[in-house]
Amino acid sequence: MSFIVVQAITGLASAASLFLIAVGLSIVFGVTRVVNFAHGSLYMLGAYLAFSFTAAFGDTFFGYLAAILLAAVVVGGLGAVMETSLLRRIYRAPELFQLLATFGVVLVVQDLTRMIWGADDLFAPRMPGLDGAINIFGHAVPEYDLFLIATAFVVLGGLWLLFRHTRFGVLVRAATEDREMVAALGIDQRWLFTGAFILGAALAGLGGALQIPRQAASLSMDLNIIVDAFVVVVVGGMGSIMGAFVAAVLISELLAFGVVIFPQITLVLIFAVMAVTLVLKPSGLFGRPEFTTQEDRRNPDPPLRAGDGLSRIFWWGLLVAGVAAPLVIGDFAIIVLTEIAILALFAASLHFLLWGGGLITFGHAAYFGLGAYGSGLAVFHLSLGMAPALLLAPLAGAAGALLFGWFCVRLSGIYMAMLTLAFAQIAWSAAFQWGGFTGGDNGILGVWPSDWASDPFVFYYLAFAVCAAVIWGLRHTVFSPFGYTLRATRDSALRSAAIGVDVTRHRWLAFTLAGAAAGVAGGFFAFAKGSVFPEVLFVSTSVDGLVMVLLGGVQSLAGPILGAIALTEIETELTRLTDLWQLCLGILIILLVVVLPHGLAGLSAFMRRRQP
Amino acid sequence: MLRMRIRTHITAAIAALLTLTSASIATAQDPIRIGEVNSYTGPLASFTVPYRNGWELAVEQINAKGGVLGRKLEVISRDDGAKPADAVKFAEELVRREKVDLIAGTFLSHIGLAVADFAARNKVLFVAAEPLSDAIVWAKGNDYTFRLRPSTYMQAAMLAEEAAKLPAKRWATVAPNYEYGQSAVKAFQDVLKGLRPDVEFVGQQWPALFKLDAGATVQALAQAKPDAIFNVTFSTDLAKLVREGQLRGLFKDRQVVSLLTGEPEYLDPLKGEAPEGWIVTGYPWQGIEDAAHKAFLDAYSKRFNDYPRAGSIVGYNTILTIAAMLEKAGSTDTGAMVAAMKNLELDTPFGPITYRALDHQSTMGAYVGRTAKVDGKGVMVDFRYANGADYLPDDATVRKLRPAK
Amino acid sequence: MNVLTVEKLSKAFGGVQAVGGVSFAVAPGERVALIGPNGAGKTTLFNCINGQLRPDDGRIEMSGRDVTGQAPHRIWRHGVGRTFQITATFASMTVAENIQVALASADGAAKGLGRRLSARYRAEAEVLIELVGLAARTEDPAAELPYGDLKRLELAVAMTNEPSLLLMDEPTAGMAADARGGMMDLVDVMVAERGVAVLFTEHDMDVVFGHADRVIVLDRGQIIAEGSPDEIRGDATVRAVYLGTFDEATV
Ligand SMILES: Nc1ncnc2c1ncn2[C@@H]1O[C@H](COP(=O)(O)OP(=O)(O)O)[C@@H](O)[C@H]1O
Ligand SMILES: [Mg+2]
Repeated sequence: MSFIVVQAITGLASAASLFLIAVGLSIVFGVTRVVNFAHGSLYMLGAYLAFSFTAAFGDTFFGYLAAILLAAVVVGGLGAVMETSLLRRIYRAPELFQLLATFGVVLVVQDLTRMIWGADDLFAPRMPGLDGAINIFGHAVPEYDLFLIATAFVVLGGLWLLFRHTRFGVLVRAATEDREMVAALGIDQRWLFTGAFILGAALAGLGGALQIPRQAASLSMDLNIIVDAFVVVVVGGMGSIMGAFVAAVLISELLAFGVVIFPQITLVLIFAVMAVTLVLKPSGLFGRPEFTTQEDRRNPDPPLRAGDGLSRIFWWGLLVAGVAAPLVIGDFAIIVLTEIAILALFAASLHFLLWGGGLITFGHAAYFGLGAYGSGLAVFHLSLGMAPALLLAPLAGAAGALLFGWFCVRLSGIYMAMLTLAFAQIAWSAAFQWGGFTGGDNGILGVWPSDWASDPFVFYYLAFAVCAAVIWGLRHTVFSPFGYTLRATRDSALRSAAIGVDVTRHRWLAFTLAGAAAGVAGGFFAFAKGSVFPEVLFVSTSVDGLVMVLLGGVQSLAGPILGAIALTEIETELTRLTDLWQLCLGILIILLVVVLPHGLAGLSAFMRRRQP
Repeated sequence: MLRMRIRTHITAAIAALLTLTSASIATAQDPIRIGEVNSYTGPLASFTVPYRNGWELAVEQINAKGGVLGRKLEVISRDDGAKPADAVKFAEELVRREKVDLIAGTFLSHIGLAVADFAARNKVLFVAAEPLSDAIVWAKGNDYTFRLRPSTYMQAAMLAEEAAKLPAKRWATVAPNYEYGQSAVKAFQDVLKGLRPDVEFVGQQWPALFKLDAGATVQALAQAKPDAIFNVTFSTDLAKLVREGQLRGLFKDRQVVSLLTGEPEYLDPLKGEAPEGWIVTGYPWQGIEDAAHKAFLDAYSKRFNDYPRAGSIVGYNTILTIAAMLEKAGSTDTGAMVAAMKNLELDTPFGPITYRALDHQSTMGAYVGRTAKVDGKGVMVDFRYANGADYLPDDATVRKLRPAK
Repeated sequence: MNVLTVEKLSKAFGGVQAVGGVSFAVAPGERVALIGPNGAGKTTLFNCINGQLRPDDGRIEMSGRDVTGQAPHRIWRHGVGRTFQITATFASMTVAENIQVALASADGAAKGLGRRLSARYRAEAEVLIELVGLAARTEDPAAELPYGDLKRLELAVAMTNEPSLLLMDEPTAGMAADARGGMMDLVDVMVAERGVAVLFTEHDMDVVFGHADRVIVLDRGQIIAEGSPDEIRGDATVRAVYLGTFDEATV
């Protein structure tokens, strides 16, 4: 009994940390509708800054406290810089662009932090005055844990007062609940957005700073926390402060007792909670459904034009280049080209959903990875040859998409993005922790092409032929009745249903089709690399896919291919040139979103516009 | 070869237009090219950068003495960003574009395994420097891969030997939930049970890597009421565990045996919080008196104005290995190099080591001792060098563990 | 047999009884206007009929078949075309494509992966485009159409499955007063040529009295009057609750 109480208190302390980071994310989302991936980076910066400040004047309780608060203030200031210099330019951009831009910030902050503070973990001293433990039912409970719990309640109370009793707070609430209304009230939204972002950033900074007496400041803090924070925000309901609180408590307690009961599967647990919540209550525990009476008609895509002269030249040129290039380039270039062909298919399958169906998926790695694992496991467990193993890849991708898609297509917008992410993470956790079947983190080795295809030259042509055929198939599908109907569900779900389209089922089929195509890419990827590791299922693979699509240009069928070429080349060459390649890539992504929102395929239009 | 044929035709046709890159025949002046892949960016940089310093130092020292076989050593290094797929891509690049003579490196086990598999496939020698996984030389061992650093099994066995001397009967374990953690716990349990059939394992915690929920995990460990704890967590997880465990009195009156915690990489960030009296494997660079190590320490400190970490020694020994192997092989022919690696003997700052022909594992050992605090910093005391050769299973067992291809 | 029979239909949102026990029927080829002040429950009633909302209680029959609670895409299969108070079209498609998609769906070919859609149902689409008077805009993106043309496009789309009933929620809202007659004349053509029945809501009383065979008056979720346009014009209760706001409503 006493153990349960103490474990519950321990869970509350974790909940306090999680709440502080999640609530800022939630406020920012509520007001600006931007899902800020860099929120974890702000949290990390809070920890590093607090480390430096405590080193300078953290010898006393109040000095330490001041260091923590100062870190929060400085991070709030950095938030102001980020909002005014970047986010302000992209509020009108599609959600994915925003997500991507903030991901660019993650990369930049990661490298800058390493440059400033070095790569070593920085472990701050305990907080003076709160450096011991008190005895509760015979168990020692750290004083700082209790302080953290108290702080969370103070912040919760403070936010409550702020949102009830200040003009700023009331406006933030109003904006969260009804954007149009605030706009209609003629309030200058700019300071409201900036203010909300500063508040959110400062809370992230505070959350990070408060961690330093418990854990070392390290470069892995950003991505480690952000996915958990997403889960809390989504479970609690986007924009809801109380939701963030309740979800943080729920998840932390579940984990606190989870480690006792099933210590092995804690990773899966948290995402399973999210998936169940979203299925039962799609807008989260305390969220309200997004009222979109009318589909977004601000920037409709132009109608499809099949095969006008220029695009015909492009596609034929691409085909000819793909066939001819290996004859003149070196061995390694062929290997890079193989990777490009595979990733182009991956990106094209993602693009098919994003653009063809308006289905925002943030977990497309799941189907790519399942394809890779489908092939890898076929080789490993069934000793199948390359050809049959490759045939299993689309089946595995499609099966995963069929299962996950059933849940995902019922949601829309950012909730859908988050649920797809949750499923991908579940797949990743399973691959990572289910060692007996998947090989765990040590992966599956020896997934090499059959002898007849082992020459990189031959394997390239095989991969190229199949990937090009599937890309062509996807492209054809876009123009087919199925593709048009899919685009119809994107343009107006209401109208689609009114003309007899079962919108959910149609989206589900599209999801499955894209899953199968991504699976093909995954299968080839496994044979190209000779191995399969859980990384193929990880969020970074999904991000790579999105970067390719957006880099190439989301409004064009050629986009994903151009994107795959550009990103693969950039990554291959940048990493050779500099240790700071994350910084360069991050800046590139940010510039891209701000300057070239239509991607490379939009470059020509951009040039034309620039001319006087 | 289909490709050669097609290519010859094309080349003939467009030779006049293209500058062809043809692999030039190595001359005596050309350096010997070593391809190197590791995870130099992101959170792993704090482990791999000292390692890079180590190999840079060795390359400089060897080249200053005129190189090997009359040729200089040149290392072409790539950052895999901790992604196995990229590690394989750069291995391809190094072999095919950079035409390196052999490859070396890697830190994370699964990346090591991926590159090892690549090496076997492409018949390239691979000196796996840092990955700890037993699989690299045993379950998934191959003809072309040799591993330098003492493996998970070896280090766990060193600790199990010490653990067996303790009175503790009830043991709990805490390890990150991935292959490294799992095999470390298994090796420790197996060896300890062999030495002390009376011990029992009463609790296990498997936090996700870098996501240790410290308070809850510490409570759960305490709840099992063990006499002693075997820890495999490291880095940020370790820091959390140590602070939370000390606050909650988990380590009071309990022995702790902890893998790798004596390595400066893991011990130093703990600063004043460094635990005292833990039995650990590691690298007490301040206290090793051997002349060979002193020379290394002086050179390293002078060159980098910093003290070496365990990774520095590994990086340094990697290049020493390659140089010794080249001298023995007398050429950069892969067959000759692989043959030379077998039973290769060389002197290192840790003393002489041998690459076993049996399983391609080097006998480089580690230091085993207890942690203590000196001047508010964690150090290892009462340490001894545990020779890797003494902590490997007998040959028959190894043969079973390493299936013949 | 009636194309539509609604019996004791109810729908509440939280505490608001948007539709409270409404019963009526629509005969083949009949033009029925549903009028009532804003918030009377007209759109909610439409949404229940066409499946967007599930009624709390009551029963909906189409040509004798119980369709209560079926999803919109199923309702459509019973021969119901719908236009919306705020137009819903496919912004990224041309006028022709908007109709071709609907025709493909009507043909059961929405999941087809074969021949390009742009090459299919072209002739049928052109007939409908001609019929609603959008021939000049066939290749224009829907996103570029003026509002009145969007309403026409919606009508054409709603006609693609040769419906027996058209549900039109405020078909002339947002149109200039002089264009409203033209729109309703078009509807009359559909009724005359294709034998379709029409249930529509409307605020413009000229339109109502000029184009309805029968008028149903809804107030706070209840039917308060039903009859021919002339009867409704003379009804005292209707005047009291509704027609007093005539002038405002027609603006
Ligand atoms: N989705 C909804 N949620 C809550 N209340 C609604 C919803 N839709 C309509 N209502 C309410 O139901 C009543 C009827 O609305 P509606 O059917 O739109 O009326 P009308 O179309 O006659 O103007 C109104 O009081 C309205 O506020
Ligand atoms: Mg209405």
